[in-house]
Amino acid sequence: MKKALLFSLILLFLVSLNFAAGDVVVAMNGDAASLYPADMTDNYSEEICRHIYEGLVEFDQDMNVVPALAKDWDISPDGMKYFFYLEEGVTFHDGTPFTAEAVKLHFDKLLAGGLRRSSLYVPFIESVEIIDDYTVLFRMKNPFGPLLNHLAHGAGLIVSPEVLKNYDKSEISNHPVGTGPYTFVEWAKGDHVKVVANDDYWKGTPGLDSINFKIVPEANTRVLMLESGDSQVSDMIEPIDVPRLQANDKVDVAIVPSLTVRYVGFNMTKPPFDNKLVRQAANYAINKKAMTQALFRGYAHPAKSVVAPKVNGYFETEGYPYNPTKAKELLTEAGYPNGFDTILFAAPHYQQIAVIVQSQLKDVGINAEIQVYEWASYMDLLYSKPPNESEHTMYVIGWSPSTGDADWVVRPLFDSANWPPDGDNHVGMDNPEVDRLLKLEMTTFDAEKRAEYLAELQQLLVDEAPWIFLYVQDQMVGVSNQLKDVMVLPLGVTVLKYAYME
Amino acid sequence: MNNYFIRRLILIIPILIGVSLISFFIIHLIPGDPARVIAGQGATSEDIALIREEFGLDKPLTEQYFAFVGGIFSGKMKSISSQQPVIDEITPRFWNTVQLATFGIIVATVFGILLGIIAATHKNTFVDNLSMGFSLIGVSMPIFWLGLLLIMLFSVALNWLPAGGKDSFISFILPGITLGLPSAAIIARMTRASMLEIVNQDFIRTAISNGIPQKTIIYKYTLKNAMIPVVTVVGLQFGYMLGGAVLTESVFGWPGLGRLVVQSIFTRDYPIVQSGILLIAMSFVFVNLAVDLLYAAIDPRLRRKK
Amino acid sequence: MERILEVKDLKIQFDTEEGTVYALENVSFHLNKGEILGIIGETGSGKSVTASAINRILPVPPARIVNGEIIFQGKDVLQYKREEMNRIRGKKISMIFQEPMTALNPVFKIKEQMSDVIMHHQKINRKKAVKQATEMLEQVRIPDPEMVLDKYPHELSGGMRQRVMIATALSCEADLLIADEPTTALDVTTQDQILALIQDMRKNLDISVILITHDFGVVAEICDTVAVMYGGSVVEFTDIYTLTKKPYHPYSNGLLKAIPPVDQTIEKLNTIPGSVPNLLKPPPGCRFHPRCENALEKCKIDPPSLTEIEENHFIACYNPIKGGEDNE
Repeated sequence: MKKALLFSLILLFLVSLNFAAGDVVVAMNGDAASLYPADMTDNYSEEICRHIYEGLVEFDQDMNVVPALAKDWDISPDGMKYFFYLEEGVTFHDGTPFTAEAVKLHFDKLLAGGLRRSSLYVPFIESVEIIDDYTVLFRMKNPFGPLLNHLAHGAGLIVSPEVLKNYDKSEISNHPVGTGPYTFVEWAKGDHVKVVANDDYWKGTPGLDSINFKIVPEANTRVLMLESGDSQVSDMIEPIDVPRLQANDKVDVAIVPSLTVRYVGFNMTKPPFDNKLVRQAANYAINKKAMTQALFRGYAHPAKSVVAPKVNGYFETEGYPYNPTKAKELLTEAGYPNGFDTILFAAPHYQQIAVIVQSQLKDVGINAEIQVYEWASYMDLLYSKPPNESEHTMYVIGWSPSTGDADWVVRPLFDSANWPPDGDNHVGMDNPEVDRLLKLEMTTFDAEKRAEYLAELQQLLVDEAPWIFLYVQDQMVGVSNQLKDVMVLPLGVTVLKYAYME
Repeated sequence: MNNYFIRRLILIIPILIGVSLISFFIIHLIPGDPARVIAGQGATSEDIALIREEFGLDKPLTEQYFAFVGGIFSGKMKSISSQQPVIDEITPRFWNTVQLATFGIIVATVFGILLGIIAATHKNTFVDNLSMGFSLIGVSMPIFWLGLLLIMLFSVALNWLPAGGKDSFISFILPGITLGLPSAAIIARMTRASMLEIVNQDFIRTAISNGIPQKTIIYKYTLKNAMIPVVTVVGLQFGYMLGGAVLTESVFGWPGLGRLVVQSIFTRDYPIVQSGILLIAMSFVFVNLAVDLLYAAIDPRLRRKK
Repeated sequence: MERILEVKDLKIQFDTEEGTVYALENVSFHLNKGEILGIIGETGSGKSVTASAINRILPVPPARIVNGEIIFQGKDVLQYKREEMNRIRGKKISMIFQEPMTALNPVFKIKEQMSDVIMHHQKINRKKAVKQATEMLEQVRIPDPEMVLDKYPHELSGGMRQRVMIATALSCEADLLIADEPTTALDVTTQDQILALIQDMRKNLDISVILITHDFGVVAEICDTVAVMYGGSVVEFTDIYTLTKKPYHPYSNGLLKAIPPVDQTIEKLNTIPGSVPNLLKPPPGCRFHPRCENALEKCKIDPPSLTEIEENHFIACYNPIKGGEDNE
């Protein structure tokens, strides 16, 4: 008995040794799919990659594009040439110097196609050329407004040329070598990814000794880990846990608006949703404020555009305030004085939203039957056929632009060329004015002018009401209050690149 | 003996072929396209076509099935989601699951049998009611809730044990208990019922009338006989633990096979789902075989009926 | 004669869910050293309960000993503590049972089961205990004891198993052997061998035996005295010669009349109308009175007690058969 006690004490001691100051545990919701940034599509991979690799440019806390490996850049007046001036004296973790050649090799791989993020660059970039060791030229196919946002995207994180030359694309993921502040140590699939400080980091020694990204799929456990000190950062905290964590004097909760707009899409190719008045009526019928209170305790805000406020190019419209009387008037005007029956599709995690929408639509006479599809089948429902051939009617879904720019919302979702199965325009928008403005915002690189086009476009889209505009949710990340300068990007990615322990 | 064993091993082959067929066609017949799910929203049709082509998803089903079978033997089959060889994805996860299940079944067996003996030897007393009440709670308590409760007590309040992950031996304790307790409850009930049945057998009366002390009667004469049905239950529970510890794995962030397979079902990562199910089925079959061998070890009457 | 066992006025009830079972009432008899006492009765007459009570293997509860004494070698076994009883069972009083099929533990070898008993009582090591078990098996005329020791019960024949049971029971030189229907489950030839074996053991080891049976042939063959039981009571108790010559109790008489031609049993007594009483609700007075030709009014009210009407001849009856009946 005594021996057992002694033994467990020793064990506890050994365990406590493992968690020395400067070793930080980040509890993440899911495992990375790949650590090759150009070939990954998920946030978990991106979160880890942003510690190991760096791009030419990066996002700051407010989604501004700021210099990273490129200390500066020039754009030709016609917007067809981008010159990037690179930081000197930077080396990859494997000792390879960072030069223009590394940039070219990385983007050449992407431009050659076959990678899961190739489509972010192929339509816009003609070629990448080396001017000298520390100057690179990106030659465009046509002027493209949000190019810098695309370069700040996770896919623009640059991999060591030695790795790119020596491994095929699936093997690169097992040899993640970048220029970032943390060096890859190990990846125990499904359990954790560990990185340690890169002492030769070009901006100086990083603030932490190591970061252990642990996979903890259960939100309750992530909260409890934070409380017990088993983690210093816990991603994706539920609203219900926020007050408890805020009351805890060892933990802060970072509350950051996300880039995700949640909405109910209409299949605009089918009656009654081909009628703008019906779509607007449904918008007036929903009390978004009450919905965000009920579902998120206020940690969500009514959406007033097709993009979220933190997205580059956001324009705030009046939106659709709650007005059931107006909804009924519009329905009468549209020829549905007694409402109509329809189907509201949802994936399992949207079920609660669907129930609230259903009950509020019922108040104005729209009877929506809810049908829940598991995610993969739901994707099939929305994406396998063009909207006019598909059976979907109303459906709950969301969109978050991983480039942080409005272009990556409006173009995929509303360009008439992007109807499924080729793109994401599952509302079936086919509007020449929308297409015209899309073309303009996309090819204008003058920021001010582009913002005007985007504003006009957003106002038009809100008026057209292809969706019931629901809300933009906040993301909550629990952080030990000893840990400073943790960036919770609205992208849904927590970055400890500049973090340190107090 | 050897012949019997070999026959049983050969019988595994048709079982595995059956399982591979069923799992293959079920996962392929439900709607959903792995390329679409993995490429995500915002993917272009080229992105999707690229994945389809790379993983042969555009080929006829039968061809895909034989590619899958071939992939098992060549070891070259890759996960659609991570693009890593399936064997590299599954092996460490399976090993983690085996470790946890082993720990869990030890917890379950030790606690279950002890509790069952205590209840049986104190039949219809307060102790019996208490043990069986405890086991009823164990059976009906949601794993999810039990796990969180344990974390709250041992990680948050007492700060003795880690809340999640798999680092050292001590990270086995909470998930092991969470996984083992419901099974312990089932084993306890089985042990109790079985002990009480054996106690009424003639040979126990013989042992008593020969003056064998009660302790020997309970722990030797009764227990060994009572273990025969208990071994079946332990085997079944172990099988379930190997295949379906998904909830425990989620609560404790345990990198096990169950979680991987479930997650891969959602993303329609066919190679992982099919191989995972096959592996789970295989371990179930082997556990059953082990149970049969254990029967013969316990009960000599079964040794000849081969 | 030295009395090794005397049962006095034993009264046992069982508390069951259906109610109290009045299992034994008015049970008295005695056994002299070196003799064989037969206890005979129909199924449900209480013979096995009586035997189990002597060895104290009745489960208490549900059984409850209401009254009586079981004097074994001068001491009342009902007063012994559990540990004391464990030293007597198998060592002083041994018991063998009807079903040799199920009476041996199926998962242990004969060697282990026998030596466990020997080790427990004689405090010797396994090796010596096995040696002693071998000798004991030789005594019960098992031709190849080493081979038998190495077998599991299911690998032996019924007769062989019963021999093993006897050998185990007697391995610690018990003074009293209680044999509860030891031959019922065996074929005729084996029955005779086992009975002969019991007789031999009695002589060779100087033991006393209680033989419980419903087979009068068995009783007549080897017993010195007989206790006849009916409905949980001893109705007549005397030596075998007296009983066969002139039974006093009407039930004993009916029993003797019912003896079929050689080697058949009396599982159901057809010569006396009526059936065995339900011991949940036994008839008042003498439990045999509803079936008794000689019944008086008194028999229906007051149970008769066992009294010695001639020397060493006890009956429980108000109206016995006059002078007995000549059965010749």
